[in-house]
Amino acid sequence: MSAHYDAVIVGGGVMGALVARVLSQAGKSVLILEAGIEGAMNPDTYRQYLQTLYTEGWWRGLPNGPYPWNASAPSPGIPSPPNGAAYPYYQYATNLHFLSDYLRMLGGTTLHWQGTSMRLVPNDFRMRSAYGQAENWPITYDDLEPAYRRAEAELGVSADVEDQRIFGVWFPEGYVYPMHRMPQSRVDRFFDGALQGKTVKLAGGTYPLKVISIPVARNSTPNPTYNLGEGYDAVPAASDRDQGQRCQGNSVCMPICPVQAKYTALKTIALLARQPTVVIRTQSVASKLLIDKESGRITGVEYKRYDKPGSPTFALETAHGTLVVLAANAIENATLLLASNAANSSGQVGRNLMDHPYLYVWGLAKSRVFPFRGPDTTSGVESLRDGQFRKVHASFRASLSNWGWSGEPGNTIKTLLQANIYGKALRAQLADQMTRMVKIGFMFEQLPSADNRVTIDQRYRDGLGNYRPVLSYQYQDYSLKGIEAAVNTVWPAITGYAGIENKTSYPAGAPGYQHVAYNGAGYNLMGSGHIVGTHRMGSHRKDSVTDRNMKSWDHPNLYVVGTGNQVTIGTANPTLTGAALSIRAADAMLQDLR
Amino acid sequence: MTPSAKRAVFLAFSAELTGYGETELEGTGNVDTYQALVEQQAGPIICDMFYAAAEGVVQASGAAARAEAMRIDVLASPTVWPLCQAIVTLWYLGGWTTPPASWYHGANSPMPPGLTPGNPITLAAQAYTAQLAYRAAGAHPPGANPTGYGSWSLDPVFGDFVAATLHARLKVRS
Repeated sequence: MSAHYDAVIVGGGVMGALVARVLSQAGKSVLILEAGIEGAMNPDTYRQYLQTLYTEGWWRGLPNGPYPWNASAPSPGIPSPPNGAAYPYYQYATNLHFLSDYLRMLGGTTLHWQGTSMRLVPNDFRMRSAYGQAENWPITYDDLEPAYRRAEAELGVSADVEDQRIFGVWFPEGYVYPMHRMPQSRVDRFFDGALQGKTVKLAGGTYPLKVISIPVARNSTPNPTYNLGEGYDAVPAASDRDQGQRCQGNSVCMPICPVQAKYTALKTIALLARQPTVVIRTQSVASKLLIDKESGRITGVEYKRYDKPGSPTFALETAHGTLVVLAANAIENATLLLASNAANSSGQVGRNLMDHPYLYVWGLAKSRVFPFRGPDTTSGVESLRDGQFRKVHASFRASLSNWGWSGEPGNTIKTLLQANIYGKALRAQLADQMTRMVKIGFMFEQLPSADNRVTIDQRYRDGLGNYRPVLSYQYQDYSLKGIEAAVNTVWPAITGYAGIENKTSYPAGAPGYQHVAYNGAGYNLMGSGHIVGTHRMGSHRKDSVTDRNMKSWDHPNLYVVGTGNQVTIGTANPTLTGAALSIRAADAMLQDLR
Repeated sequence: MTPSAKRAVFLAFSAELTGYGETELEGTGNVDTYQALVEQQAGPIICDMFYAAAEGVVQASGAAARAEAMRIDVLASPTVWPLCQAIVTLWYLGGWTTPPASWYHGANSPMPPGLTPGNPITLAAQAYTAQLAYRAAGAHPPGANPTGYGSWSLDPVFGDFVAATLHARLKVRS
């Protein structure tokens, strides 16, 4: 006879942890099933991952570099020795690949995320009404605003509201973020100075090129006026209260923050671990939802519990809960629903997979801007995230990199050595180049498409016999036109205003990129790790997987939470929105559990 | 050459190759590990060639003579110069990849046992934390030697750059 919980939550990352937090604070009993290992929750193991960055990081790369391969619960993007090509996990049904990954381990992908935490703008929720594109969400910005504030408290977001009131984003009177905005970098000030009052023309309209600080879930200085003067206690490292109270400039949010000044779900899990009503079970891979044919209720979650990562042996167990909550990554949620033949009367499960196609542009500033210091990014050109041009092409944000060019300083050193330059000349020329390197990462909106999707196939299984995701992915014209606008119009305007010597080129076959040809030009795209849309919410059961509270239309006790619920992706890095949605869903769960 | 003489040559030659002073290189704590790694990876035949060339450079008196020794004994050598490039990369980036088999063959040297060409070698964390490349630009290796909250919004304290720039200017004049 196994225990019965108020809720069984699949996934011990940020979304599952936040749902568990809301439920357990109301006294509800919760079981979290985490597919991966306890891993980074153990402080010694966390340090071991940091050591891996030090000893092997130079070839293991980003963003999953320090984390171990686990054939029992594989993650995409785990580097394989000796040269760092990833172990295969995704299977592809299209020539184009989906270049974003996630981490299956307690704490989830927040272990390697950058922490960027801006809200969506109101028009992101109403793309059909505003621009005749995609679909409207079943909720509006106004509906989600209170949950955004709660998510900002849980994640510990640093920002100033004055910066963030863009495109109708509003905050209640007197609201401040938990912590002040992060200090902007030398690079930020360079761009800000050069672009003050400058504009660019997109699709017939004129738009400002405005640099603003971006909100981040990273500890800065608590705002004493937060919560009507109560202030905010910055949450230190999950396992060491003497560390991580404030960012100390380690300059490595991704793949692992040495001191945990950056939020990871481990911080929320550390709070949960003190709650007697919460049970966390790692190395337990949910493999099937058991469904009562009459009522449609989920009667149990079948899961495979393994003792040793990589071993093919496991115990098959079943967890029982009044509610079942899928809170794994959007791709894993979809895979599990498809494997269970659940929640899919609309045929939408796995469809509308989205990401932000990511494109770098780079150049040399005339004067020294001193990159390679500070958090990966502290500001962006955020003024092109909304506008009438969205009738024609994608919106985008331009993230200012504090980290110089990709592949540096290695590439410059190699080039200098190949030119027989060594010694003091090498050092001086390297310094001259490195201190002037600027790079912008453009992140483009992608529209939902039924053909961009996760499916499963009997032939493709992992080490425990669970389904591996089979992905179909392509870029639509809408995004590609946005890419053209960024590369042909916005970047030349920025280089012109800032006096930057453009060094950007997109050679075919560059490792780590996907070369895409469009209108006679080629672009080297990457993923952003912003996995969105595989179980979208909606107003009608015929075209969506969940309702506005993220409850399955088909199963009265099944919730599916996280970024997979997003109807559109907009241009905000999605974790904060996923967190707000999960908190909103947890409120609805509490109503059900009354 | 005695072991201590070899060490002195390795250090002085590393300084010549990297543009960092011997004291700065000693300060990384990596001299002995790097010397051992280079010797183990190169094997005795190539090591003899390497030390002979290195000794010639560091014992040449004056910058012009050193540059000349570099040009003739190092840059022109298909064996020694690739090894020197790997040594600069080691100091600057804290990484080492076992050279290709063709490099050993070209020097009529067997590949030392246990090595796989093209394999990255896992070094101690100290190699990562002491990377000189970042230091050249007033920065620091990501994840190590943090510079403190908000330091990224200011110009770095940057003696290295000033010294290197001055040196480059002096070189132009002489």
